[in-house]
Amino acid sequence: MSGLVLWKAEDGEEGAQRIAGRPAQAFWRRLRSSFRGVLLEPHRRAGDGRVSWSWTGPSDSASPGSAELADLRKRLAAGLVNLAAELERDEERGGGEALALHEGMQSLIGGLTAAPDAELAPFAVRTEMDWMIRSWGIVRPAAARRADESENELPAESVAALSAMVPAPLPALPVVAPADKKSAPGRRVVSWLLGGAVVLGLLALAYWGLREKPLKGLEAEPGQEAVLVSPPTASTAPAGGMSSAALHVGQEPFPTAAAGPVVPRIFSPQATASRLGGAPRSLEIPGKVVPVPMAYTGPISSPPEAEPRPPEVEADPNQGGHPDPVQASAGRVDQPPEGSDASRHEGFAEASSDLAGSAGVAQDALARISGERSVMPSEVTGRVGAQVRRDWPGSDSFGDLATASSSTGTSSPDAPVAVAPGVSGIAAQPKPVPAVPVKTNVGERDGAALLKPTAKAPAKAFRTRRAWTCRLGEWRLARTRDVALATVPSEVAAAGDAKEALATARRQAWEQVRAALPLSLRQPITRAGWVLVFTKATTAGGAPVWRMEPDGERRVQALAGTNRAELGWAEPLATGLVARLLGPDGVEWACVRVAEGGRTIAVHAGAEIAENAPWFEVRGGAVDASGRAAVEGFWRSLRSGWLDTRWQQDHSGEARRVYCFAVDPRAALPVEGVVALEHLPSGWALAREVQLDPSP
Amino acid sequence: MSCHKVARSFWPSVWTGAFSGAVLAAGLCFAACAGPARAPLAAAVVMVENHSGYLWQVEFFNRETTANVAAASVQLGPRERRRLALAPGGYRVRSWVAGAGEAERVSMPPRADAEVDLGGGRTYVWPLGTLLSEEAPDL
Repeated sequence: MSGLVLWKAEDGEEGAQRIAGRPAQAFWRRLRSSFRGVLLEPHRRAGDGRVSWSWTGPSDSASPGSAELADLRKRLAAGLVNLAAELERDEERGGGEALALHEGMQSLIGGLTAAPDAELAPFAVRTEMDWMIRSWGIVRPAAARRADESENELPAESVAALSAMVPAPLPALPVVAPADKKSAPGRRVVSWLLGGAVVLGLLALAYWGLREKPLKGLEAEPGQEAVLVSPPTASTAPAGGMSSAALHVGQEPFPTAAAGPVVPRIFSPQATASRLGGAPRSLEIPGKVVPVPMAYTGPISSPPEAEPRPPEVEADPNQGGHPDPVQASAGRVDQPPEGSDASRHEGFAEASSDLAGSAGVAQDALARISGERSVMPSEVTGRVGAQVRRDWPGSDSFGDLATASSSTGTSSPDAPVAVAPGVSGIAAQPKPVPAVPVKTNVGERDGAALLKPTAKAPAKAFRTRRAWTCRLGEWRLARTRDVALATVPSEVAAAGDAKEALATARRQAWEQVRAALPLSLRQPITRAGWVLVFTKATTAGGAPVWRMEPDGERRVQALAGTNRAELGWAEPLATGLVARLLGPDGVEWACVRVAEGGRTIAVHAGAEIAENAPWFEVRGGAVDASGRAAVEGFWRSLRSGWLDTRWQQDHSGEARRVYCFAVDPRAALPVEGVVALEHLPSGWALAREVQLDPSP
Repeated sequence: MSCHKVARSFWPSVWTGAFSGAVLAAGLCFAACAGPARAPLAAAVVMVENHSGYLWQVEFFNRETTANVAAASVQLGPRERRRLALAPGGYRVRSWVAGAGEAERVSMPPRADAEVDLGGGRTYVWPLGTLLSEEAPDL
């Protein structure tokens, strides 16, 4: 079940990659923490300079498949990222060769990850736990052979050396003639020696018997077996005479409440817990750090929907983001009355500036995904407003378009792109959407009868094909990477001292990781929305339109292209809204209802919609008056049940957006996942739970 | 001399010799127990406690030897505690998360090695843990 591979790597030998003049394996101590579990540990022989790799694995040396090799490449790349972060810290402390090591490992790992399967496979070995890489830093790996076979195959020179070590026969002892019986003194001496030898022999036997027993302090407990941990070697034998082999006696489960492997769960939102009938693992207390098992959920907590927003958030042009809890807990200022001209105008201006920045991301993504970046019907640009779009989708043209649409208040059904932008409602007091139960011909089977009927209601029936309800959790800070605590053996006086030392180390580590929290995640500005992909691409003149309810809704960013439409809003959304997507013939294609401050999104889609998904965007919070923090990181799913392989990410300097398309549009619901913007170097992520349920 | 006479003079000598040897051995034994030779028997005991759910590996390297061979190398499963006995002396100690697939999720502290002096007859505790092993402290 074990294999052993020997590889000779001598100075100057072709095939051994060198970093800063030394073999790459010589840096294992610095690489170990980053590549543990991926790269096998090298062992260098002091005598001949050989580097050996040993591992325990199945006796049959099966070749790795493509999936295993792909996983190996992924882990290698992750290890390189970790190494870069660690070397960056070393560099700050004056580590001179960090740059050379990083470059060397970048080349080494890059060569491995870029190698085709046939070339990478010889490096891959199957250990007891997972596939790993051996002979790294070597161009051609040596052939692996079983360790037990190698033990019986001594090279000729070794046999000769062993033969030379066999001692020569001892010289024959002189034969002593029996003593004369008359010699009484001789007999007495013999008898003395005989008696003493017997006693000494008995004592020697007793002594060796005692040596077989455990040492003082190592008495094995009943039922436990003493195990030799490390065989004694001449090089490690101390001068004191005691065997240097460490003995460990017994192994016992550590008495803790938690058992089993720790999987760092990021968080378990209350919605899930309450739905499952369990107690919540976290407490949502705005402005306070709440300890959560296995994770740290930070102070990214938006105020409840019923609470007015703090004034500094309203004054921030980047509004829509979550206020800093410290600032949020500051005093509040009376807000201007809702609906006043001043508040509307101010909010409108804020909305324009906010949308101007985000429209580029949205439209770029929309155009790129739909493959129609330059498609914009000219009649739209001329009809919607006085400020004509310069480009479609231009970086700031959407803001102009939004301004025009809102100022004119037009929302005619014949407008190919109906835009109802603006986020002035964020600062307003929450106002529930009035439910007027009126019978309409629109989606009665979907519970859409509560929608306010208008004269612009679609003339044709809404053919609902599928319905979803998406529930969004609160944005939280989460740790995606654990940190080992730096501890050493220490002599303790009391039983609780060790735990106290560990708690101290953990507290210090928390302070360090908190200090490493990226600026962009401290006060992020978040947006959310929904994207609908059409079954068939429409023509430029036949693109659907969005219709907002209440009419003239200005808080929502709405886009509709020829094969894709999407809604978006800054979070939190103060009140609910209903958005209908109308086809060119007046048929309602989809209906999106947003409630609970944007936490609940109910979607009804007809046959015209092939696929739909929520999207999220994080923008860096304001660092100071000069600008915003650049957002770093990548979106990923933090739960295995929600695959992110089809997610579409759209990254710019200031924003990170993700469209969370399902792997299979007909995937079975519900989906309970966690979407996170992960910042790899710091191990922090901004995460929220997403639940997709089939609507009743 | 007759055989009887020889036997009568031989056995007392044997007993005398045995007694003398016993006294000598007892003295040696006493000296061995009370003198410097007792020191090797007093091992330094290190209790390694894994407070996390990961698989850990710990290694002790004797500082007095230059060979890169661990004097002790132990793997600890999740929530496991082990008792090690080591020869007194100075050691370099290392610890890391060794589980495949787990090591990627755990950053090791920048200073991987530490040096400790273990005294004979003394007991030490080495707790192993991670940031997320337990609840986050109320910072």
